[in-house]
Amino acid sequence: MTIRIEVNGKTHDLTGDPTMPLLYALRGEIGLKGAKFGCGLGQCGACTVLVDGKAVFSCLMPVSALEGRKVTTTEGLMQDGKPNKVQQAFIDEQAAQCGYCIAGMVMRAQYLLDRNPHPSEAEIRAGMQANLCRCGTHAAILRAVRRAAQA
Amino acid sequence: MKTRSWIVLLLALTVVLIAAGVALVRHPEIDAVDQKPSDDRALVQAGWELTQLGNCVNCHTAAGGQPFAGDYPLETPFGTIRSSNITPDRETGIGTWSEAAFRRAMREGVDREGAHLYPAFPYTHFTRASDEDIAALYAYFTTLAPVSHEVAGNGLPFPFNIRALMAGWNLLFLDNGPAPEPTSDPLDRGRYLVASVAHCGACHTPRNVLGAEKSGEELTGAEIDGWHAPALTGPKARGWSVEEMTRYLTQGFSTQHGAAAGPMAESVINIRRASPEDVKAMATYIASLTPAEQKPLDPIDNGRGEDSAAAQLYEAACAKCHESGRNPGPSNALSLSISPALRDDSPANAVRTIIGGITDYRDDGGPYMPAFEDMLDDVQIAQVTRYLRQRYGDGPEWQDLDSTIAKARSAGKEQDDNQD
Repeated sequence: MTIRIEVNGKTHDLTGDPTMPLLYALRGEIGLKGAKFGCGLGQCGACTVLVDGKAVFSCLMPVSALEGRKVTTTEGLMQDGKPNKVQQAFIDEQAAQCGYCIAGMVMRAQYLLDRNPHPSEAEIRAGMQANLCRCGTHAAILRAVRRAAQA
Repeated sequence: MKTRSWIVLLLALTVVLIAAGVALVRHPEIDAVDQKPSDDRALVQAGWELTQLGNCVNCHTAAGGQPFAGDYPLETPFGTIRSSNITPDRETGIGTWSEAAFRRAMREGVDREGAHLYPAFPYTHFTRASDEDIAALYAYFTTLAPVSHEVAGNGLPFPFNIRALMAGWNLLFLDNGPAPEPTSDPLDRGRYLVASVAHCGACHTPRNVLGAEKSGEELTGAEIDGWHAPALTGPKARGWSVEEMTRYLTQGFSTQHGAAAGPMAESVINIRRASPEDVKAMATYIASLTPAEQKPLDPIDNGRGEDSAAAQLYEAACAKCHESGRNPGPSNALSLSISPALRDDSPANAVRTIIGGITDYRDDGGPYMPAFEDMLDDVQIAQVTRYLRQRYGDGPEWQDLDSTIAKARSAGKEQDDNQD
């Protein structure tokens, strides 16, 4: 069984287990290592990517559910080889400590700002709530999202 | 549906007539007072704990608004009713209300000026509260910071926008007055709290066409805000032990019954802060409502079935947490083989939980489930829900799945819009 998915504008034909999580396909088959495996249970958000523009936990999305849908990862946010404004804001605010959650945080922030370019503080907190950082850099992450909204 | 609307109209007309009579008996205005914050700390603390049991803040706070400043839109079959500002602001809140005025509102559903309140404010329950508990609630509310916030008007069409109609409604449905003073027996205290301040029946008791809780069917389960509030008594109720119900009311999860989701999650987040003795008393009473032979559900697993898109979705998206023997940590997950939602007559709770997840406890500790609304499309949600019903249920296939999914989607969207 072959499943055709589009990742960052390129099509890929995936064969093998249809229940394979999108995260494994991205990292193991396609070679995009931005999205991370954290909990594998949709609790932490380290694996967050966009599917048809919406933030999803790629650890819980079987590739079988993705036929014909468009996936964007943090690699796909780059513009002309440079970080986009959300990624740049995370760099400027030095929002990472260990950095493991950051690709997921960036994708969650991108989704939030795509829907709501000028979120209030409460909306930022609610919008970012699905993602956890175990180092506790949330304050810097919130600053980064605010900075990206103003950029 | 047509006959039903006629019945509603006829009953409404009857009420109008009765109201016309009763309107002659007007409720007097109670003099405005210069309310001062209570300095009785024990009484204020008791009042605060009762507000947690009564879940007051949920209905009296708008999305993004100040706590207790009202304006939360309650959708009723008759139209939208917006909750009152109950902070001590003199102009827009209840800062001029004496304790007598507050007690009258709680007992009779009439505001300080003498106008009728709508029973979306559950005074049919609060009327049962003791003078002592009403005094404690009043004392607590006097200590809130006044918030100047004028509540928008109700969205009630004629004739429901005539407040005096409620005089007729009250004649029919308000059994006014406090409950007999409870003894120190937890069962007694629990019965009293469930009927009064905690107003469990507001969600768990079915309502008649005029929106009143049906007498004789107390706590037998009802539809509320697109969710099914399960039966706490009667043949459909599942058995609870006191310990299990206490755990559910304080932690939001029972290993026998699953998570408190939807409106019940909001309740648990408040109830868990109330006095532990009172919560245990309520659990004692609720557990007593089902006979011992009504056990929690026995597991059902009709097997994986043939390989299908639905089975694949289940394995990738659900099984990692929900299959027996898996342990997702403090997030908790019920083995779906004993899921009450999958045995319900209505797919409401299953669909709502899949679409919205359980995210209420994120800041507060408790069960968690990711929302699948952005991960799965309508067809996939229908596929996986049907699969779960077939595999882990014992009832017929759900017929109204697509409309339930559409309703749950639009409810989620409204919530987003309210936050924006």
